[in-house]
Amino acid sequence: MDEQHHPDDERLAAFAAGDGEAGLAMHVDTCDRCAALVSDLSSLRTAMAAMPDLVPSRPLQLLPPVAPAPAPRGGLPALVHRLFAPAMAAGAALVLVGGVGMAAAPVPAGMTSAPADAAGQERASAAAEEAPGVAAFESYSADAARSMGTAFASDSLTDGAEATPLVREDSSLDPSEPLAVGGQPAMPWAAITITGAILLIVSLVLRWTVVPGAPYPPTYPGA
Amino acid sequence: MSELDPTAPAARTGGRTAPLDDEAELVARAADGDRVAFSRLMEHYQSACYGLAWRLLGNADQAADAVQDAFIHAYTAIDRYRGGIFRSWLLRITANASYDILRRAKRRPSQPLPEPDEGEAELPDVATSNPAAEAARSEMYRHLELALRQLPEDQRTAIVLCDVYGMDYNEVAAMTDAALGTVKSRIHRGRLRLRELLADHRELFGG
Repeated sequence: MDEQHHPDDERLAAFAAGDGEAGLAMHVDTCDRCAALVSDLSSLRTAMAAMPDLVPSRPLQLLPPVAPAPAPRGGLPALVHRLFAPAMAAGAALVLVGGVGMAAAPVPAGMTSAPADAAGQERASAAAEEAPGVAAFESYSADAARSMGTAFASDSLTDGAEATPLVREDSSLDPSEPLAVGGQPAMPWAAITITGAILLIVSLVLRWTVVPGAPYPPTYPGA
Repeated sequence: MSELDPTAPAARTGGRTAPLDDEAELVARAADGDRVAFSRLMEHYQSACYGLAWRLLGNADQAADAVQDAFIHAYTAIDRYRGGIFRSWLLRITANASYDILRRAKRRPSQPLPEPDEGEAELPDVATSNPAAEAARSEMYRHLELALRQLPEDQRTAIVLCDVYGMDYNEVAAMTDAALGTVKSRIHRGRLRLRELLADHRELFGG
């Protein structure tokens, strides 16, 4: 067959792919040039269909980098999990308030200089009888003040008066009761602080024992 | 054949990845949220997906990114998988992910289109009873990879999807947003061009 009568190559390619005109078959059977082209294209397709897979150039992450959603919890773990943050906040607040209270508390106003008059001495004696320990401290204080002489007597603390022992403002109180502050019961700052600290510790311990956290770093099966 | 080395930045496997024996069960478990089953499937098919992505993109890093995107998409979509050949389903996702990267590259002219990677060719590490035949096949694939790299992008994409990965014309048309006739034309012209490019190595293809 004359070359100028060859079908268009694209038609031959379609024929080789099986979606061309059936009328080309007769020509391909009789034309060496077109038969070679069809044969080459078929071989090419066969070779491409068998091309092997390729090894990735770097390790691929087989799973999306998201941690699995935590499973819903119930019972005590759920309760602890829910109360953890409020308990921590409350504990921290108590520690803060207690700490500030202890730091800012003034020298107890009830610890005043006892009057040097006789009535005062009598009250001091009565208090000494009720609280021997306090009396011993007061006696020591008085001795120390006297030994310091006039230099100490002019100290601003004593404001020129003779150093006198510290006694309870109201010696009729039970010595086992807290010292009075300005006439009011002392705020239990230490107790507040300790309560807050206990709340913090208990919250943390419960959080980490009853509700164990997710492992860090997260691990993925098969990764 | 050092001039052919740039076409093979990754090692070839011994062939195509065959389906797993327990693939149906793994797919069912993965669809139920079993991450171990899903990771086994991805591990098994990662070479197939990477091969497709690399042949479409011509760049190792972009190919790996495309496969990662495909895995993420497959993870979110596997519960909607409705049977069929799992490998084909995963390869379609990979092809879409790769084509997305190509489209993004086209939309950003400042970013050049991916060029073929450079690097040493790595021979497949496959034990064979006929080393001479295996070497000839390896040589044929190298020439084929190089010839594919020299095709215009639209022809290469269509050829790779259709001839290398067995997608039909309609799938290729849908994936590349092209008319069916356009896809056929690209494939036919691409094959003719490949034949020209490989004319000097016809003996490798049995021609």
